[in-house]
Amino acid sequence: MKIISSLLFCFLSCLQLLLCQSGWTKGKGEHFAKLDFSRLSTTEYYSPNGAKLKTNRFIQNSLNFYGEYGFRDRLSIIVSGPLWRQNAFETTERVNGIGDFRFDLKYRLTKNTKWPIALSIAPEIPTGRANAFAQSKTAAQERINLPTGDGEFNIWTTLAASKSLGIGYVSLFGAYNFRTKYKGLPFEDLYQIGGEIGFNPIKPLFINGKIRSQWATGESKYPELGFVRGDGTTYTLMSAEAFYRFTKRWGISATYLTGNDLLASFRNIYISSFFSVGIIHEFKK
Amino acid sequence: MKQIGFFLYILLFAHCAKEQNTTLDDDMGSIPTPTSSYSVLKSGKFNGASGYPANGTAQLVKDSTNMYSIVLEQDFSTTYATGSVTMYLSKTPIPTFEEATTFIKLAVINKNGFHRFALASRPADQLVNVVVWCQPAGVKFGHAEIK
Repeated sequence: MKIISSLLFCFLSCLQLLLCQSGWTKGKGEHFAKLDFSRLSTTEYYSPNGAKLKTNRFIQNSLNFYGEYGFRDRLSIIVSGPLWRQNAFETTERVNGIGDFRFDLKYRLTKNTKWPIALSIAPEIPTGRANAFAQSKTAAQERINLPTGDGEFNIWTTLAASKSLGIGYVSLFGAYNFRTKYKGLPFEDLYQIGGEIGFNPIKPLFINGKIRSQWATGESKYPELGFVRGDGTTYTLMSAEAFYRFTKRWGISATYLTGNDLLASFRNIYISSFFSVGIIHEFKK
Repeated sequence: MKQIGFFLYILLFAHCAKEQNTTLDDDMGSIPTPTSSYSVLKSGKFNGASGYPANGTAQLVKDSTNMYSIVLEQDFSTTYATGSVTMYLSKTPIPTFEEATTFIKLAVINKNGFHRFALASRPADQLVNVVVWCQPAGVKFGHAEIK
């Protein structure tokens, strides 16, 4: 088993890397919102066929949003995505834009809240810049496409289950991403499994650990979709997050990411240090 | 829940590359235009690299005025998903940019097919690799060893 001591981040990833679905939904009128900032800086890249490459330094800054609202007691609406993404190589100018946003409609299938099971359907809209050319700093004719979105409409379907464990909980999920096309070229579908375990050791402090593995239904067949649009990206990621609630409704979070190839190997993914900090607002009845 | 306003950027791009030209790098104006007929001195086939494709034939040629060029034949193809690629004639399959005598920058291109890159003089015998290079990322897409 190869363990990557440095942290991982996908070129076109967004907040979904840190999301780990649970079986719970928000109560009617309740909400949870998070805004966090992350920075990627790396020279290590795994190509679409899994070859490890050293490249010029790639840098990505992101301001990510996650918002969940209880529309009904067993029905939540979730909106998530990068409000701002900035991409650059050390050799190029920087390009900026919004990322692709995802809209989950999540329904808790079971009335039992101790063993909740939920199903969500989530279209991901290509709201990001499908093309964003960063000019070389040294040669005007040279440029590289560093889009902030993949230019493609796709739909995630997720089934998640959870179990309350007193001061803690555990969740498991499986998800499938039906991908479509960009300029007539089809993407490979994706599927994920993952889990989360969380604790509330003292009243204002919440700690969780997550793992998520992603596979593709095949290798990317088109270079136009691979590096630039995240086709065929596979990985296993793990994160540890601490959330401290300093008032009844406000809190701050810090997240650390790492990974390995225990389950899914690395393909079409940048490897980097990843540490994010965020602010949270929550309303519970 | 408070209404959350999203702001969307309107995306308008003007491509910097001149679509009608296959060569984007015009800083070789001091070299006279080669004649259309030439003899092939060395030739080689491209192989892809880093998970990206590169196919076709590269040649070192000389014309009737003793002008040397690197030619990519009509069967040349690679990927321009990142925007464009930079072609080099290099001593090694991966150019050593710290040593100026070990490579020649040919041109920045964004289309497949035939290309001809005129050279100022006969290249050193050690320069035997025609390299397809993604300059911003510093990644090789392929190369052909010409013999």
